[in-house]
Amino acid sequence: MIGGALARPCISYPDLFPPGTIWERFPYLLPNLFSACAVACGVITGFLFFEETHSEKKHRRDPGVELGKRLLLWMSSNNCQITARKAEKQALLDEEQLPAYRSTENSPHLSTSSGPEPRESLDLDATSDAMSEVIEVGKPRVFTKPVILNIISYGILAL
Amino acid sequence: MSIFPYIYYMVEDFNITDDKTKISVYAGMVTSAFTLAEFSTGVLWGRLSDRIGRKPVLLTGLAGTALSVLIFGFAPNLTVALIARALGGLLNGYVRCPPYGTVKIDRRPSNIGVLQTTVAELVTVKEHQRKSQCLEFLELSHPR
Repeated sequence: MIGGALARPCISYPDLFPPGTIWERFPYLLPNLFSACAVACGVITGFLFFEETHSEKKHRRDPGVELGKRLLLWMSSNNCQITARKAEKQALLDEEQLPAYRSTENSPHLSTSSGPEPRESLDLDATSDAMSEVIEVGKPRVFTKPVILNIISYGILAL
Repeated sequence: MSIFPYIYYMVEDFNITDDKTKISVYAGMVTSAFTLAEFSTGVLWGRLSDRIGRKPVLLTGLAGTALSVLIFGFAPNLTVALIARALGGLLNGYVRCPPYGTVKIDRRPSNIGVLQTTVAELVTVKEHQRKSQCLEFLELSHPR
């Protein structure tokens, strides 16, 4: 829909796109330009914040993600400087005693169990009950925020 | 964004032929160039993403798609438009073609694209993998 709405803008919107400009020479440029800008935004976002998921390549140094983190830090420091200072002052002014670090105890006591005991759930009824429980709990929680956002984005893409 | 609404008029403006019936043939050629290129080269993207990682493949694919779409907008004749669409299809293969070491969902190797593999690699909790399958719509996130 957006492709059709933005094509030939000199004919469709002569006030916004006067004839004699580049929009008349390339009448199908506008929808493609819009598309390219949207994809370019995706590229920038992906470069800055997308983390590698490949199991072996995950631990490679990623300059894009580092830049993204630095950017976020810079932005949050601009916004939260005042609130951070207030919180600091409040903590200093409070007379509460922080819990003292006790070093009188030796090593922490470990539990005496030897590890997870093997559970033999051969009972089919029990497993099917457990599965139906999972499914029942899962049903109302399908429409979480990421899913709704994706549905909205595809609605926009359909245009 | 799809090109279907205006592709007929675009081919008409190229003034290739006086016969109006032939315009649809050329419009069909332009439209299918994309999918043909995607089909021809797509398998390589999955294999490549196994070697160099998901992020470089996804980002170059996206950047290349943006470039090809821009070239398509500036196309003065049919040849350039065809080349631009073919290029777009070539660089769009990451969406569909599976990496070699595909993630197993529900213990079956799935023939899913790099994008879905990324999602599946992100989602590690078994219960949430069913929800992640709803995100199969991610393969639509590119202009056709």
